[in-house]
Amino acid sequence: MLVSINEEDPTPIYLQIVRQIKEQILVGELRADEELPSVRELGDALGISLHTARSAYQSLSDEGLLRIRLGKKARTAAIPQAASSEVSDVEDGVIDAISGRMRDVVIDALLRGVPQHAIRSVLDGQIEDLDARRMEATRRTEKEE
Amino acid sequence: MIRRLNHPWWGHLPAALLLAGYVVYSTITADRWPARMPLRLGWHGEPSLWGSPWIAFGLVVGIGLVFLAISVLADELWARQEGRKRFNAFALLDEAVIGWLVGTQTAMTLAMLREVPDYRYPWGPALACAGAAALVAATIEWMRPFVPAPDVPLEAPPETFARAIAERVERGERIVYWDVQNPRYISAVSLGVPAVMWVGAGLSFGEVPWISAILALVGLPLLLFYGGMRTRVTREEVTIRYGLLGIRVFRCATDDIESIGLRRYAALREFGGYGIRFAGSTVGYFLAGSQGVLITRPGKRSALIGSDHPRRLAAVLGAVSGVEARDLEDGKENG
Repeated sequence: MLVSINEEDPTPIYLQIVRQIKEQILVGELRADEELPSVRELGDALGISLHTARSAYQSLSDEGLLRIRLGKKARTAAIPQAASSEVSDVEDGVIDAISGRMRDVVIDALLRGVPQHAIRSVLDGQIEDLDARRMEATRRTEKEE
Repeated sequence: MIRRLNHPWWGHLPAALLLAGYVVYSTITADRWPARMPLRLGWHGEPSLWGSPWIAFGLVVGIGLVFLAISVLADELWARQEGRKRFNAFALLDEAVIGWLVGTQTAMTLAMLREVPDYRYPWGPALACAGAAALVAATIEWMRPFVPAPDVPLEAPPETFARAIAERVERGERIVYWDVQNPRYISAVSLGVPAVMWVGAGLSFGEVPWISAILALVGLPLLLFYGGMRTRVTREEVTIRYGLLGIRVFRCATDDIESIGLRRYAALREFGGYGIRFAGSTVGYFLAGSQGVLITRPGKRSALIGSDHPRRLAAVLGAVSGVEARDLEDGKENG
């Protein structure tokens, strides 16, 4: 697991951690049941408070991405295969939840004067980048097996 | 997918046949066994513990099967990591141990059936049986064909990962990379073996307290391996911690790193097994696999860190230390 903290990024530190772990789970760099450092170890290594590290893990746990049990190391949960470009079934309410969050991002971008085509381009770029990382991780897994 | 064995199964036939022969012999003679027989002989050869002959039978078969299983695993591991045929001395382990046990116990059974007045440890039969079995095992090992192991390629270069870590280092971000080696066998060995030892210690406490103490003490360090090995890389240092208590066994400032190389290793042949292993000027830290990252430091021993993702580990180490990671020559021998 790789986590870094960018102090110049206005995103709260716990959200930076959440985002990076989510990305690694999505692209397959973190597989199901992989052990993560303890809250204390993460806090110590990154020089952040235990509360911040715990908040990050708790947030991931609330989303069903981590399994946290008292006295045990946090582990990644078994995640259903994330959707690729093919059509896939999505649980009720997920699209609505994502749509709400994307709307916030779009409003924020428009308020800052980012043109619509640039927002679309950023979105496409993000999807392509994550897809490339996922393909790379898949190729690596296939070679290992 | 079931992988084909590289070490031929018939390499273990002498040990298996010896054990089977002992079981057959015991079954034939069991109706003539007395109620009690010496189970342990003291330093001077006199019996110091008596008990049912079935206990002795169970111990010989149980210990024999354990060594047979250990030998099957060790020989297969050896065969998978050899680049050309090399004599594997571990192949003699099961035959020597089972030969010794069967030789001893058969001689003791014969003495018991003959109702000899005083028991002595049967060094002659034990040595002869173990020696003959080891000789047969050595001959079979010499005859064993070499089966090239399927080449496990080094992990594919994680280009986007390497790029991402390099960018983060350049931006001056605080970084932690976490690499875990915790194969399933570690949980089995670190929990199962101490459990057996402590049960044995409990059972023998009344009779032989010093054996109980040894069993209890030897079991404890094994328990500490539970949880496997964790390598942590930050901008400042590389640390390796082992086991339940996370005992730190290696620490190196990233500024002290002189070179970084991807390296394959044959754990059994080069280092004598897994764990924390010394070989020449290198200390190996690995619990599984055959690929790792070799770090050299001026004036200090090199550290070979095993990893399930060696290229990723090398990319992170290279980024934080500013030293370029290289592909080193294989530890695996070439034809």
